[in-house]
Formats: sequence, structure tokens, C-alpha cells
Amino acid sequence: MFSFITKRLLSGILLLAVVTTGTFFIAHLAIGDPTPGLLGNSATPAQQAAMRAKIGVDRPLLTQFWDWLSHAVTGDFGTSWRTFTPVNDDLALRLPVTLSVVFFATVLSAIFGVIIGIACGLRPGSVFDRVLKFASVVLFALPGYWLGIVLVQLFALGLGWFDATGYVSPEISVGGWLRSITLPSVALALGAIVMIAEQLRNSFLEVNNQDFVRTLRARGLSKRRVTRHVLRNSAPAALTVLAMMFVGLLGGAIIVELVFNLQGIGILTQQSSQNGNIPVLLGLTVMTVVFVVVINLLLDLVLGWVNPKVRDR
Amino acid sequence: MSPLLSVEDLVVDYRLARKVRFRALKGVSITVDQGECVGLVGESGSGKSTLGRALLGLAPVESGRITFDGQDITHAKGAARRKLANDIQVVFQDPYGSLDPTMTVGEILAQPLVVAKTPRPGAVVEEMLERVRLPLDSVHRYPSEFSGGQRQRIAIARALVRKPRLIVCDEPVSALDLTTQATILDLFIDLQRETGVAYLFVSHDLGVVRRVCHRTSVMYRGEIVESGPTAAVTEAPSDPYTQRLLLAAPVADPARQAQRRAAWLGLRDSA
Amino acid sequence: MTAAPFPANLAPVKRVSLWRRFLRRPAGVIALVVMILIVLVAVLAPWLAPYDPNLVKLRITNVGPGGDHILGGDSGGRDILSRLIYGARTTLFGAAITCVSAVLIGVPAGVCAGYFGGVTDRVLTWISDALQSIPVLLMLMIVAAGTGQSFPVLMVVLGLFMAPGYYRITRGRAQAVRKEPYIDAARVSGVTNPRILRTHMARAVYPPIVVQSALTAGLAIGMQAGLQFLGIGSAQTPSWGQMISNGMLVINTHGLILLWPSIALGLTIASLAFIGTTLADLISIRVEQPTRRMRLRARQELAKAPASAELPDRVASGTHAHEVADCALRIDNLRVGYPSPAGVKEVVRGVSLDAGPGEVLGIVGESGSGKTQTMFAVLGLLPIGGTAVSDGIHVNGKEVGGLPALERAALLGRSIGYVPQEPMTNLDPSYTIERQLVEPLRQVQGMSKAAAKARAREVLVRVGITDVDRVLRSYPHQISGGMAQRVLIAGAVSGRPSLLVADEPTTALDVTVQAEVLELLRELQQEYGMALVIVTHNFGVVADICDRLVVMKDGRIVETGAVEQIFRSPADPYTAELISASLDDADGRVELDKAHVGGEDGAR
Repeated sequence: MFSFITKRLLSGILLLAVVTTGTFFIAHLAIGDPTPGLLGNSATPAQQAAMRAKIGVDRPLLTQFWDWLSHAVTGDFGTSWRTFTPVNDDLALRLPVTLSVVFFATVLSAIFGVIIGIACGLRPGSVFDRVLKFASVVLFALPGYWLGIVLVQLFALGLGWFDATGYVSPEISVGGWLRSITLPSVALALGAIVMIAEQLRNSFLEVNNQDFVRTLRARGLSKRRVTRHVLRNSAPAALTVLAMMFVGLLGGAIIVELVFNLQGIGILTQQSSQNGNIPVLLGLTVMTVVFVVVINLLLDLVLGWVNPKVRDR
Repeated sequence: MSPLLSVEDLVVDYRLARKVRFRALKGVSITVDQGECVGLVGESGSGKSTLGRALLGLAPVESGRITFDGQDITHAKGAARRKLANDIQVVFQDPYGSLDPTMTVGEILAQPLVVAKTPRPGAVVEEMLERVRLPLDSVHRYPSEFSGGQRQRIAIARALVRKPRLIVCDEPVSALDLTTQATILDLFIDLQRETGVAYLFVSHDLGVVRRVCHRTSVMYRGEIVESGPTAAVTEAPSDPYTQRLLLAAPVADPARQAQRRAAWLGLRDSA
Repeated sequence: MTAAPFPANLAPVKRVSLWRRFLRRPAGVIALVVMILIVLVAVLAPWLAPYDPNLVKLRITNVGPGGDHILGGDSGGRDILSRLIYGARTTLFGAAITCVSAVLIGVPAGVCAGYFGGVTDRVLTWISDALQSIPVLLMLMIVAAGTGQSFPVLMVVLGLFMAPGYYRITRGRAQAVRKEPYIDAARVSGVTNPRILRTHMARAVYPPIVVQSALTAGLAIGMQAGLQFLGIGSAQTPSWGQMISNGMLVINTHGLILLWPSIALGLTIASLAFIGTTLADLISIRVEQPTRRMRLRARQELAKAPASAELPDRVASGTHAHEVADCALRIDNLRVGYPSPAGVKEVVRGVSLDAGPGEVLGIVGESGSGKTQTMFAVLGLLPIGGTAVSDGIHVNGKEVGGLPALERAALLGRSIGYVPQEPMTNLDPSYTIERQLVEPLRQVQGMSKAAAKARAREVLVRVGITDVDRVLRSYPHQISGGMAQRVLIAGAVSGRPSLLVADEPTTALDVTVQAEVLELLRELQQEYGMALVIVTHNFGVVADICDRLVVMKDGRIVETGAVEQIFRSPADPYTAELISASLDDADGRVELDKAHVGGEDGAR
């Protein structure tokens, strides 16, 4: 078990290294000269040259990389090329917003996905089950931001139940915080809920058809007890989807935040992309990949706990 | 006369994990003559199938020597191995997995001929279908339209199209119903008489081996524990493991089975 | 020469192509028609669009539908319909680029990883996992930062991130196919690796790739619209995402402007999704769930008034040897059926049998004879869709066939024990052996935790397991097949049932283990005085353990009687054929060869 965790951890660190290195070079090669983006097209060549010297892009790429890397490993992602404030400050300001929405969406999709998945798995072919199948196709077809727009119209502007836009920090008001993140989280989670529900339903049915379930019934175990065995065995597939969803939700948050006008990493990403603000983009990449690695590690631990065969590997 | 096939001191190791190796064959020797059927009997994990696979180049040979028709084929690879397809063929156990479900029977039977660039493969395919007593219109059908026994006939026909001199039969009847099993065994015998092909016949069933094999070797944990004429091995074995194996197999006669069971119990309790 | 009993002609089989079956699904057909229309619109855009999509007419700014401009104008004064039509072009072109690049990257990688395995597999899988753990949108934004105007480049990058979807599917298929004996057979036939990949592999991975492409195209279109929504891409190229983004700005005053591109987008993705799921349903081996109406109809068909001279098939087959009150098990005229398009497919067609207390009854037959289905009906545990009707099922003299499901289930683990065929798949892989033995004892027998644990050890010792502690702590994958079968027998008898039903309990085991397990079953049966019903195809097993015998064929009983008598003089020719097929007394090869040579000499 211990070597299993070490292996996963090393793999995660390797992933982080490869992705950040790759992103660094892709970003620099794709953007080339960032100064027009940062200063606008009206800047004179002299102004541009001064800017290049200031942000250090006139140095060889490898030198820049080494400079960036040596700071990054200590947790310092440099300064923004636009505001010249530390990237860490920018991130620290915005991450809570995004994480609130993403974690709330993850919790929502886990809870409702599991409930709906079990309900459909227990009664395959029922009306409820067919509704799920239809809903999964429809929600697959509707992009999250579109749903977001509809939700805002309906619940915020129409019924006035939630805040239409903006973010309230939980330090100011927990109720306000929940009200501000509920709609964006729901917009984000709806797709994930049906994905998880469908996965759980399918693996539930698959496990239900396995021989050992009949044997458990033949031992006289009650339906509830048998269902617990089936669930335990269909959990790995659903958990894997949940972890994948988390990555998807992080990405989807970028768009949803724009719709709800939340000052999270979404708008920061969009602005930095438009300006060619590479240090911020890199900082964003590192942060997201760290979260993904942590989530995957947690998933591996849970899988190891649920499925004894994984531990023996 | 030298035998058609001879295996000397063959060792096969499977890699289970990075540093864990499993020795599936621990120095096995066996010979098969022209037109002869040699049985290989054992339980799961005895290495009997591994020996068959090693002959076909499907198992990693660690040491030892496989000679076919005077030629060393132990480590034949690439073109040399493909050339052997003219002489050595195979029939597997699973009549469902051994035929590609997406190909018609005609395509399946023609494939070995096409890769060998045999002229007029259609005629050979028809001849083989007749040999295995399948209707000629089978060529346009898919394997899923046939029963287990019929599929095994198709697999046998595929093994025969290149007119090989040796067929490795890996538990070819153990997935079949009893009555089907009997007719397929008879087919094997008839084909051997008609074509003079030799069989290395792998099975876990002493009754099956007794029916088709001239000589038989018994394997246990990667080694051959007893070899000899089939009648001797299957009726009056000298090796204690073979004795246990024979007595453990129930016979379809209540009175004789009662005796056999008593003998088996005696052997078990004395051990 | 032995005449092979083999049909000269095969019954004609109706093959229905995938395409035909697809056309029978309304959802799939509608989606396909919609998709074809959208493709046509995209291709014919220059001829269909009434105006230049970028032509600005201030007169039509935010004007509603009607007049010359069927859908009105947007907030920039451009004709909405024309922009929608050209937007379809952009959208489908982008989706095509993504799909093609994802297939080109993912499929070859997946096939190589699955077929060659080893290091290739580990490296490629790591890369695939890595790609899947990077948020796509973030990466696209970074790439877009430099190449903001070049949509094709972005769609290729998106394709790279979609490739893991293809990779996973093809790798899984390739791994499964690689283990198939037909690949080995092809190698032995002298087929080269590239040729195996080209023929067998390509055919195996082709259907799931088509399905995946429909879904990938849908995802790509959504993602593409998202990028356009974020303002990435040329303003000159009309696109649905951009139109949605524009529409959002005036949502409160001119909601319709947002509606049109949303409908176009939703319709396109939904039709792709429906095409994908319909295809997936058709090619997967997943059994369709029978609806309640189908089950009801099957039940009615089964129960239809039996017994008339013209339908000898509707009369029960088999006989009883004991009085109802003296039976551990008695079945009267059992029928089992499964819903089928034709109404019902009967697999057991009127079976009557019984077993007295302490008696060992064998049910013998070949595959498809209905012997296992009969036993599942006794347990009340038929697979999904299975329906049983009978004139009575008695356990210990009590009629149970008509009991409600809950009361019926209450017999299991108390009066009836069950030993399955395949030991390794009949233990729950996620729990220890101890847990699996203790749980029923506590729940069904109502024992305390300590008592249940003690009883679990006791039965394990009884079934001949020596290192009880290790086995109790083990998970199923850590013990051998023979050991697992002992554990299953221990579980079946731990509730001290009066009737034990065993489904081919030794078929999956080696001969030497089979002898041990048979011996164990016999001992337990005598010790506990249980009736034992054993389903098997092996006449050796019958001769070893059974008192009485039932021979089944095609869902009916052809012969019932005492074992000695049936072996001595089988009344039915089919029974005789089965017994003689067991090869025990058949001639060996040497005798056969002698007879053959003799026969030929005689003929000359």
C-alpha cells in the first residue's frame, strides 16, 4: 500500500513537471513577442523595447525558463506583466471564488449523481430511468454557460431567489456566500450529475448481473444488504468519473464565471490570454494541475480502500 | 527414423511482475512421430498448454531445444516462424474465441492461404469444408451462426488448409457437450487417417486422451511424471500422481465408481 | 467410420445489418435526418444564405423576425439567418478537424498500447492520463493567446486533448482482442503483425470509434462555441458561439437574438448525441431491459391453459417418487420463459420432479437443456426478465411457488442452501471471506457477532480448510479455486439447510479437486441429513454421488429413475446416447486402429 502511494505521488510530481515545462515553452513560442498585447498596438518600438527589457523577454528562452523555475519551486510565480503585482496575490484573491464554485459543484454532482444513479440502477427500464437517459443527452447538448444564462433569468431575475451576479465572501456572510455561488455551481454541476448518475447506473447494473450477487441473495441476505455489496463494487467506476468531472468543472468554471460575473480565475484567464500575460497563465496552470494531482491522489486512496485488488498491486 | 518433432529439456519462464518469474516448464522432453497422436495430460497449471504454445512460438523459451523435421525451431522468429505455418498448425479450446466474429467462415479459412499466396484458395477451402463435414454454403456465414461443435469443425478446417504435418490441439473438445465431444474426437481420428497429420493432443481428460492418442505423457507442475503407450498410462499407471489423477476421475458406472472411490479414498488417506 | 450426427443443411439465418437496425430506432433516425440537414445547410451555405453574413444594415439592428429578414437582425445590424447558416459551416468544419486529429492521434496509440503492452502501454497510458488531467479550456486559452485568430490550430489542439477518449477505447478493445485465441491462430497461420493490426484489430475497434466520434464531435462543438463565447476567433467568421455571446448582451431587451443560435447549437449537439447513444446501444452486448409490459405478456403466455391432445408439449414431463408431504423438494409442471419479440421464449417446458429428505437427486443434460434454469426457479432467483409458472413448488412439504417474493426469499439461507458453479466469480471481490461468511449468519440466523464468527470458523474447519485464520482474513482473489469452492460450500451449509442445491459444483475444478469436493458434499449431505439436488452434465459425477436421476433435453424431462436402473437399462435413447458418450467404456485408440485396419482388410 505504501509503495502504491509513493508511486502515485511520484507520478503526480512528474505530471506537474511535464505540464508546466510544456506550458512554459508552448506559451512563449505561441505568443512570441508579448509587448503588443501588453501595451496595445499604438506603442512605439522604443516603448516596446523598454517593456521587453523590463519583463526580461529579451533574454534567451532557457535563461528565462531557469529563472522562472528556480522561483516557482519555492512557490513564487513572479510578477504579472500587466499590473506588476505578484502573481501569487492575484491567484490568492481569485482562487477562493473559483474553488468555492467548483467544490460546491463537485459536492452537488456527487450527492445527486449517486442518488439518481442508484435509483435508476435499482429500477432499470422504469420511467425515471428513461428520463435520466434523455436528460443525459439533453444536458450533454446544452453548454454550461447557456444553462447559466437561463438559470440567472429564471431564479435570480425572475424569482429573485439568488444573486444574479457577484461573489460574497463567506467571511462577510455565509448565507450570502451560499446564495452567490449556488446558481453558478448548479449550472456547472448539472452536466456532471447526469454523467455520474449514468456511470453509476451502468456499473450498478453490470455488477448486479454478476454471479456473486445471486449467491449473496441465495444466502438469504436482505435486498438492502445485497444493494450495499453491489454499490461497493460499482463505486470505483463512479469515483473515477467523479475525479474526471473535477477536471472538467475546473475548466467549465472559466466560462460560468464570465456569465455570472464572478471575479474568479475565469476572467483572469481570459484577460491574461488576451494580453499574453505569461506569468499569470503559468501560475494558473500550476495551481490547477496541483489541484488535479491532489484529487487524483485522493481518488487512488479511496479506490485502494474500496477495491482490495488495487492494494496488492 | 528420427521423429517429426522432438523437444529436449525445454524450460519456459513467465514474467508475472518485474522481478517475479514463474517457471511453467522445468525441463520437458517429448517426441512426436509422423502421423502419430501424442497426448499431454495434466491439471491446470501443469504446463501442458504452455508446451503446446512454446512449439507455436507463443511462449518464451528460456532454454532447451525444439526440433521439427531435423530443423531447430526453438527461437524461430519472423519469416522463419511464418514459414513454419506450412507445417505446424493449432486448434484451440474455446470454439467461441478462436474465430474472429467479424469475418465470414470463408474469409477465416482463406486467410492462411492468402498470406501464403496459395493459388485458388477457394477450391482448397471447399475441399476442407467437405473434409470436416460442413455444408459448402458455410463460407458466407459468420461464426456466430454456428453451434460450438460446428465452430470447432471450422477451427479444424482452418488448421488443415495449409496441409500441415503437425497440429497442436489445445483442449479442443473440453468446451463441448458430451455427445458433440465424441463426434469431434472421431473426426480428429478420421482426419488423421486421411491426411497422415500428427497431433500433439493437450487435454485434462484421461478418457479423451485414451480415445485418440497412441502415446501419452502426464504432466504435473511443469514436469513430465510419466510417459508411455496410452493404454498403459491410462489403465495401469506407475506414477503416484497419475494414479491419483486416474482414480479421481469419476467413471460413468455406479458400481465401478464405488470401487474407484474406495480406492481413491485409500490412496488419499495413506498419503 | 462413425457417422457424425450432423445436419446437412443449416437453417437459414436472417442477418440484419447494423444500418438496418439503426433505421428501426426512431430517436436515431430523427437525429440522423436532422444531422444530414445541418450538414447540407453547411455545405450549401453560399446558395442558401439570403445575405452576406457580415453585411451591416443599421436599419435592421435588433429588429425582430419578419419581412425580408426572416429571423431579423442582430445588435450589429447583420442578418441573423445568414449568420446562422454560415455559422453551421464554421461549426462543422471545426468539429471535423477535432475529430480527425483526435482519431489520428488516439487510435494508433491505443491499438499499439493494447496490442504490444509492456513499456509502450505504460508510457502511452501515462501520457493519456496526463492529457486528461489538464483542463482543456485553460490550455486552449494559452495557445489562443498567441494564435488567437487561427481557429483550425485551436481545433487541432482540442483534438489532441480529445485523443485520450479514443485511446482508452481502442486500447481496451485491443487488449481484449489480443487475448482472443483467434489472434494466436492468425499468428500460427503465418499472418504478420501489421496484417493482424490491419484486419482483426481494425475490425474490432471500428464500431466503438464511430460511436466515440459522434460524442467527440458533440463535445468539440460545445467547446468551440465556448471559445467563441470567450471572444476567441476572428470576428469576421460568423459563429454560433459569438452569436450567443452577442445575444447575451441584449438578453433583457431582445431575447430572441440569443434564442436562435442556442437552438442551432443545442439541436446539432443533441442529434450527434442521439446518433451516438443509439449506435452504442446497438453494438454493445448489453442486454436490453425488458419493460414491465413485456414481462407481463411473457407471464400470460407461459400460464396459458395447458394440456390438450394436440399439444403434448404443454403436458408436464417427468414423474414423482414421493408423496407431497414427504418431499424435501417437489416441482409440478414448471415452466420458465424469457420475454422475446415473439412473446416468450420458453427454456423450461413443463418439468415435474421431486427429492425426498436425505436423497441425492441429479439433474443431467447438455447445455441448453434447461437444467440450470430449473434450479434457479426453485431458488426464486431467475436472471432479469425470467418468469416461472408452475402448478406448485413444494419445499419440505410446503407450497412456496405462490408465496410473495419476500416470504419466498426468507427460505434462502434457512431451508435452502446454494452452491454455485464457478467459485471465483461467486465471492464478492471487495470483502474478506470472514465478512462474507459472518454477514448472513448475523442477518439471517440472527447470531451475535461472536457466535457468528465462531460458527464461521467451525464450518470452515468442517469443509477441510486447515489454515482457517489466513483464509478468513483473505480476499477472494488471494485464494485458489478449490479453496473458494470450499468457502462457498461452507457458506451454503452454515445455515443448516434441509435442501442443498448445487449447480455444476465441480465443473470449473480440476479432477483431483473435483473428487475432494464431491467427497465433501457427500459427507455433509449425510451428516446434516440434507436433500441434495445436483445439476451436472457429467455422468461420472452422477454415478459417484446420486441416488436418483432426472435427464433433461430441450427444457423437458426425458427420463426419471434410480441411478443404478438408468445406467443398467436406460429407457430413453437420448439417455443411452449420453451415457455412451462418456468414453469410459469406449474403445481406446489402439483398438480403434486395429478395428479400422481390420475393416479395410475385410472390405478388400
